[in-house]
Amino acid sequence: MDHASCFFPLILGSLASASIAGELDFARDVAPIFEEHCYDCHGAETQKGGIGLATHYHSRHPAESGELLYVAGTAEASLLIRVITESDPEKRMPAKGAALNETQIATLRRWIDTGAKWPDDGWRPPVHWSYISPKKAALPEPFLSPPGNEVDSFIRDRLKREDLQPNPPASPAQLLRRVYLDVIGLPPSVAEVDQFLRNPSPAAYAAVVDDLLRSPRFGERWAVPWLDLARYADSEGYQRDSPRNMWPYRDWVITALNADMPFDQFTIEQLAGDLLPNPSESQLVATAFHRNSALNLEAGTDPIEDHYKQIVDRVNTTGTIWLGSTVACAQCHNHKYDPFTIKNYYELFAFFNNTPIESRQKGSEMGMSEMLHIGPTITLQKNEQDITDLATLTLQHEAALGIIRSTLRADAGRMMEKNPAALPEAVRKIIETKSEMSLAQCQAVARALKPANPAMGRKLEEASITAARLEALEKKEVRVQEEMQEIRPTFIAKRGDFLAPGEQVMPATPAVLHPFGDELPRNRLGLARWLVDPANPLVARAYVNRLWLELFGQGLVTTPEEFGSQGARPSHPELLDWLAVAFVEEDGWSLKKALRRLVLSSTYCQSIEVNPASAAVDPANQWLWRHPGHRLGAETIRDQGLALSGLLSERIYGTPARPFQPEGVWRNTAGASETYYIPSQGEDAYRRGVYTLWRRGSHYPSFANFDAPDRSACVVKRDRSNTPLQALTLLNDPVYVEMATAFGQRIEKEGGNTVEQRIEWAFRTTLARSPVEAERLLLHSAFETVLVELNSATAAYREIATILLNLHETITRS
Amino acid sequence: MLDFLTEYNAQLRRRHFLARSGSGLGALALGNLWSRDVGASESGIESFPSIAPQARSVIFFHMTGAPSQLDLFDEKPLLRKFDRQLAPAELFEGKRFSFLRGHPKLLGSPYEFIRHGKSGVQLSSLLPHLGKVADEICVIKSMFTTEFNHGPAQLYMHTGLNRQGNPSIGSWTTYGLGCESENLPAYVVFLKGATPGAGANLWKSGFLPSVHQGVQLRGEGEPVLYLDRPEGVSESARRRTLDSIAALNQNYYETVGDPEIQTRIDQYEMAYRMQTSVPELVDLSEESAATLESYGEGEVARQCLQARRLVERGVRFVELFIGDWDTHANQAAKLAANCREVDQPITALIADLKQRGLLDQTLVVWSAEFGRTPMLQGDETAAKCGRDHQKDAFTIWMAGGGVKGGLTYGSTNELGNEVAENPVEVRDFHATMMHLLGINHEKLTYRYQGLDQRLTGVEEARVLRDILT
Repeated sequence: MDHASCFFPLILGSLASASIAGELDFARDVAPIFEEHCYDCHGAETQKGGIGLATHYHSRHPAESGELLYVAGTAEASLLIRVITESDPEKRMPAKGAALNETQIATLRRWIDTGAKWPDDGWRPPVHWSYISPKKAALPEPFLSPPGNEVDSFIRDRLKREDLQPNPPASPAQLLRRVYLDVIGLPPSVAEVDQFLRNPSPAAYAAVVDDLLRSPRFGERWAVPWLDLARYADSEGYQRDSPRNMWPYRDWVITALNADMPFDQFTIEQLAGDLLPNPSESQLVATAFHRNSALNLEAGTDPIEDHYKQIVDRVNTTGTIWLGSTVACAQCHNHKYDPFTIKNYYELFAFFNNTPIESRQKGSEMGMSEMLHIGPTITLQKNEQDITDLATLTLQHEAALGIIRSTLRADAGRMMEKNPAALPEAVRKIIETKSEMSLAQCQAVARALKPANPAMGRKLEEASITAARLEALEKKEVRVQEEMQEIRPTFIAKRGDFLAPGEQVMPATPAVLHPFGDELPRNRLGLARWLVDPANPLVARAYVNRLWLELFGQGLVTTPEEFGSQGARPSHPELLDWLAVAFVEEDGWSLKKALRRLVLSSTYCQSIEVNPASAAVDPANQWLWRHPGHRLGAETIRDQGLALSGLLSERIYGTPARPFQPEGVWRNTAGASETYYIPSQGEDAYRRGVYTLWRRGSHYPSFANFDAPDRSACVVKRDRSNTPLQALTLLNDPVYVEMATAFGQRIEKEGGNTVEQRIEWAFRTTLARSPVEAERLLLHSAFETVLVELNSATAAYREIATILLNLHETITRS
Repeated sequence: MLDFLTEYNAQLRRRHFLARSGSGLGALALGNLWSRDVGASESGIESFPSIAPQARSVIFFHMTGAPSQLDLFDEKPLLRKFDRQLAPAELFEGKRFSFLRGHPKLLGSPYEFIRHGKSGVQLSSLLPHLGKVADEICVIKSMFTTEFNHGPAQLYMHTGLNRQGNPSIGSWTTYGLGCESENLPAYVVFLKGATPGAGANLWKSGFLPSVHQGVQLRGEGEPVLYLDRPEGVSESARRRTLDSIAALNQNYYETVGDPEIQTRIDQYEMAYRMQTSVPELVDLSEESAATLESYGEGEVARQCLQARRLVERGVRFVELFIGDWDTHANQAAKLAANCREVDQPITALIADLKQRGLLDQTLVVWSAEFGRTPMLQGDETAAKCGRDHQKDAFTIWMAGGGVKGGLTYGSTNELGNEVAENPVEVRDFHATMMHLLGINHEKLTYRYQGLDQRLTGVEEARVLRDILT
């Protein structure tokens, strides 16, 4: 590959390769300077003093003074160079912010001197880097293989240029823990650590990675970031926030990831599975993806307006995931910075606009009654697990009803003795009938007896929640996409107001991107195929960047939701493009292959220690001289705790689990059909976090404390806060207290024969590595203190467990 | 005020130093809300407050469900005159309502309106106590919004966006100004009665770092979730456990050197302090009998008193959601009961703040997601009738924190269905609140999705200069 001509953007403020060697490239070298420093006043929207730099056209237009901004070939005489090199800061450009640095000035000089070339002479705006197809650059550095690979070539090259040394490799035990948590979201057992320590060779490490990629736990781990993007939740959102049956979609995602379904197919099935020829049940379930949009079932909602909002959500989500672009701005006006117009927006909108309205008012028009969901659903085949669940839940429900019935009969009996007239005729009839009372009859009786037994209200409400869940399980429906026979016309909504329709538009994709093939149908299927066309300059970049974000805590583009001109420029542009091309061409859109490459790199395998010399140069670790050792996600922290304590259920798939949460949390949501949270019994309370019931108005509190989003809208990047609420959660949440107790018992039972052995085992179970002497001593003294004070070894081991579950190292990648 | 600014600048310098000294923590750890390093650390924006601030704290009442402004604040004699007569066509034709259909009738207010104080601010007989502090409050009768359903309208009122996903006004405030309390969250939320439809989205931090979300102080169980030690764990045992955790974390820090570990150690200490500071905060036994009596009985009274204690302790933003005011039917009884519940405590709060010299620096807001129609909904009888949602005109009021007391701003037309003068859009209200806190709403931004996002969005918002002291 010709190195000089490859795509090689300039990093602002760094040593510019452009000024040293090679031909200038407008998009790579010049446009970024204009974008960063000039566009605020001289961009597409405003041209102060008549000067504009957003397009070739504007740049050639005389300023208000009549002078031309530049004359090709004569940099020194050009207005542009004069104003940026002006010594009087009052007169110097840019008017806001610092002066351009010498490198930037040299670049602009050279650009004018060499002809002031724009990307074409068609008077079109310059093209932003991310709208140009990625190309593979030649590897800048040799790398050792194994353990290293191509990733390291780019990272090392950059480190070298920054005069930084990469960290040494992490210890084998710490590396093993790290890769387990990243690939399957669970820690290795002591036995697995021991096995690896016997032969911690690069080949053995690669073999471990391959094993992990084959584990069914892989899909559970990697479903989580996708479900954040897909805004998957088990409730409608908004006012009512009532339950919705979408979990078969969550299971579809886990299955697809475990099967390593290529991302192009993964895309097509989710966006348009229903439009494939003879779609399978699974392909229909996949289309639930865009049915995850929130639905407003608040009484008095206009279903057409809400449908408009849902489609807005679908367009924006699609733009974020597959174009790495915030198209949302163009909902109301032409995008100020990127070449997306309001027309482009509604042309994309038109692809999604052909699905049915999803809600209607229940009952009469004048009524105050709730709204009903009426969107398309399919009924799924029940599997064995569903049938078992149904049986278990039925038993629980019947048992609860039994108690309700006998309590009501007893209460009613007393009332009959005292004052039979107080009971309405209908209620007396119910009681006198021998047959078992239905739930509705129980409710009628309770209403009549109301002051007699206030606890009954709660019991009945719980029974009706369970009854609704049974009904949902019995039906096993999931919402899907469906194309209407008749096309619904799409109009530009002026200023984003759907009541102000403007020009009618047809489905089309933005002209700045790759062409929409003539052979593609102008519907969701065509759009899906267009999105995963290898010619799409954004899709693979956005994908590998999100993968990088998961593993390294920060994307190569630090604004993973925005690759447009207002987003951050990549820290390692050649690496980003190399990975994007490899993902499509070498990996065939395989997540597992792309992930394998990253975790096998030396960059991934290096230690997290902060080297003061490196930290002085690059405190933010932008150039990756260390593994960042960032915190684990909310679900992984809980899953890990459950695994360490031996409580974790291995059950895969199925209805949402309801682990314990404190009373009263669900009161946060008003006007909703479910007020009471009924915790799962038995194994279901200990399932992996991916299965936890996700209610938008009030999602699982310990997850919320660890920055899991409520999934009301597409989220690309979770926050990673460090708060006292997290400390309170790990110390006091009854779920974590239970884990500590169970882990303590495990330590006592499985950890060996002596206190020393048990402490060693507990430490290695939690952190994979062995404790250093200081840690051993600290834990031993903690053990002794509790033992002496409470005279209970069990309490003392619980103390060890509590301490270990609360360590910073435990909830981060080591 | 000088002390405040000096202290704040010191805080900014420290933040700047931390950012440069580079621990590599970036905004995540710097956004450690409960230490003083919080704030606008990511976007490279200017420091706040940038305008001389009037208010240091906000106590924000949101009357969930929307009270009838026509029965509390905005008297309409004409409406009374044409009570239960068919409404003129321009009131409903081509307009969108949640429930009103066909040809609705007008509904006059059955309540007497009384002028109070020197300023003569007019309030209905349902709010007798509030009249005592009438000269402190500024009633804005010309609010309007774009949404007429609860969920979207509540979101718009709190986040400036009618969908979920943007930060709440409390989050923006703590993002801009941080917290002055070492031991309490910067943004505290109370709920009373039917909770708002948009749920926790109303106090979430959206795209801002999650440290800026509101923390709910609960009325039942633990005041803060997971605050209480597990059963059987003594104070001294907990201290010992925390010491062990800290020692091991410190040991790890010495090997690894990641400053995030130091932050973790600090946060565990803060959690420990909260186990004392929060119970101390919610314990009202030290309040004088006179104070307790002035606030009256009930949950709202307790919450109002705790709100004062919170701002006294440097908490930046306190929000109280009180419902349910959604009177589509049976308005008379519901409205009277709600007013009885809030009138005395809110009045007492204002008087109490004033007496303690805190009112000048505390902005108190009474708001709702929208108003109610001059048209009658449902059964026509006095007991059963109600009013539908109205987005085009409603009333809020503010007090303290740099707002002119005893002022009535803006007005509605004769029937109260539209604003007549000085219209105030929700974003104008937001811009004004920010201004009172010393923040130029156009400058407080956060980089997200490639844009400098702000509370007031992209359309122009204006500060209501006429209501400032």
